[in-house]
Amino acid sequence: MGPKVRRLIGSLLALAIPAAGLGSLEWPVAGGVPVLTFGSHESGRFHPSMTAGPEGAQVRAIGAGEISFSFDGDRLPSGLPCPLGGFVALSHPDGMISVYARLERGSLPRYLRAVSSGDILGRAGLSGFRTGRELSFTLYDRIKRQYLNPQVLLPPVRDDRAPLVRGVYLSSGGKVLPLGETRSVRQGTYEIIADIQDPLAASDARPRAPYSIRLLVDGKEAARYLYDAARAESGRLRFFGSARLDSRSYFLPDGRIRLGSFLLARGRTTIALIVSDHAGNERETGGALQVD
Amino acid sequence: MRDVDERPNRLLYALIALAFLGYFFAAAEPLQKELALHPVWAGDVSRDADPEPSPDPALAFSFHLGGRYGAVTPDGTRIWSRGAAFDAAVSDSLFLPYERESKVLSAFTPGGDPAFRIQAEGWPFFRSGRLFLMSPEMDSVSEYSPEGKLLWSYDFPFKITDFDATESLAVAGLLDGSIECVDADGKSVLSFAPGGSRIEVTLGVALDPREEAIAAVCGADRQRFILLVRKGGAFKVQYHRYLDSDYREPVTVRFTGDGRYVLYRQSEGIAVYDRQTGRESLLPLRAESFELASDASRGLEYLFFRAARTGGVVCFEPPARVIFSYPLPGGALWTRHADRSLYLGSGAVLGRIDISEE
Repeated sequence: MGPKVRRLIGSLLALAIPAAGLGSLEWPVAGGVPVLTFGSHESGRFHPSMTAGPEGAQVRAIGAGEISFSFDGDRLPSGLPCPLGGFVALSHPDGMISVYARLERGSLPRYLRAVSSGDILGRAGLSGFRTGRELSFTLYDRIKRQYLNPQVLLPPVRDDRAPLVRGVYLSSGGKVLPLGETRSVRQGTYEIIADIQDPLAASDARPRAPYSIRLLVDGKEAARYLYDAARAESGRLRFFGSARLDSRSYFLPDGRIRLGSFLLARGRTTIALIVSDHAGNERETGGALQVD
Repeated sequence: MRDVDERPNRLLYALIALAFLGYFFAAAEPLQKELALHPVWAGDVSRDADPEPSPDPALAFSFHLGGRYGAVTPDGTRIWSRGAAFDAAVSDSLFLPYERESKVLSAFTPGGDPAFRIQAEGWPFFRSGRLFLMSPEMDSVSEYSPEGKLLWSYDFPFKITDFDATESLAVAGLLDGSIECVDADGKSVLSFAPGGSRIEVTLGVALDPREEAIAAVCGADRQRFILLVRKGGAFKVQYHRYLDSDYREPVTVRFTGDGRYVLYRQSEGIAVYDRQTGRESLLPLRAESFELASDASRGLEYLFFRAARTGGVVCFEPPARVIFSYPLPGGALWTRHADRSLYLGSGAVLGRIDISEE
């Protein structure tokens, strides 16, 4: 089964019900380029939204809905800071909510209520907690009370580049060993760490997250993370379905990710990582180790 | 025979007169003394002025007017002010100026001395003297101690539309229509979805200062006012009312200092719900937002309001008897009530007005 087919099946399973009510969706900005994707590492946290360029673009409704809340400014009337800046929330059929944030002051509609797909909701601008002028876009399923990865539902972005795996590491007792450079390790439990990025161009250094990560140890799937949804439970944002990881357990402070801890028994062990992006481009990397 | 007939009438008249006198002295309300406003001083805060040692630092209080912040003594003789690079969070004991995309926050004392630094992304704010940090995505709040130590962080299920805190509780209204309340350790004590509207959203939320009740305006088509009251450790709906309004924007909700009245913005004015009688009154004031300060000694409330092009102070006796109204130009506005004085800031001018009974 190809990565594109797997992606489609995974997406349908996770999002079938809310997507049915929305029909075909449009990108919130024409010629949209994801700057930060769902699940990107942002200041130690899992980014549950998508930041999309181009800067200063007109922002459009992804589908039909109704404005449930809007605010134009950096401080709410109650004095509460509003790091989203100017923002509009659209309530869609079947409990979906889309949020368009960091809109330029004065660009929000004042009297609009019912919205058709493609209606202009404002212009991305210098607003809220960002010095960039890109749109911050969030998709939320109110019934399941979870964030959804917008790129799973939006039309795919042209992307021919496979994700980059800049390194895979084994960590134990404070020692970090790069896979590939390490020929042998002692038997024991090791944390497997990966440095992954999904560039859209050669010079692209944005910390974009991939869409899925599969870790194979000795050919068997040891972990699989699908960037499809995230949900706050008991005050902690958790993601990857049953894995229920949170930012603290998933991210290292520098943005590298922890794929889990595994017991490596004596003998020869192979570790492989298969990473794919939202367009279905796939990268496979790994190495073999002698465990003594 | 005539004398005999008149005796009961006289007795009746005497009884009526006695009852009237009794009512006059016992039931009639004393007339309110006339309140007079006396401007005391006004000062310009538009220029930077370095902090000076105050004769008694405890007497100085902080202000936040537009993008400027600083401290002033009650007599207005010493004022210092600074402009924040972007904005500032201000309490009586701390200033936290911050930039738009701040990653490190520096806190200062009212004397201008560095207090501590916080390495975290977000925008700081104070509620009931407690220091919080709102995450960039507006879906997570952290509380810090007065010394800058992280106490807790709480990821809410969705984006926050309003937030209030008292001494040991914090409540958030969310874009998905739910209301979440956490205790002083950042543990959930309430997760509640009012429902009952075609569109679910929480527009405004407030905590009773005595921590016995939570009020909210939520939903659209139809919009509702909801009052949750703590019973046996859990918050339960005690009262709700469908409203004529159809706001799709923040709606201010506030409790009076004694927790008896809840005020919330409505189309025709500010609704005042009396928790004791269950009755609702209306302050005929078109305000987009407001804050409350109580003068318990006089049984009065000061409502500092902001509208499209204006603002001001309305002094009223709850539920809705207006004593006086004092308009202020629009734009930046800062207000504070202390003892028998009002401190008002508008534009770049800060001033004090004393209230006396005459």
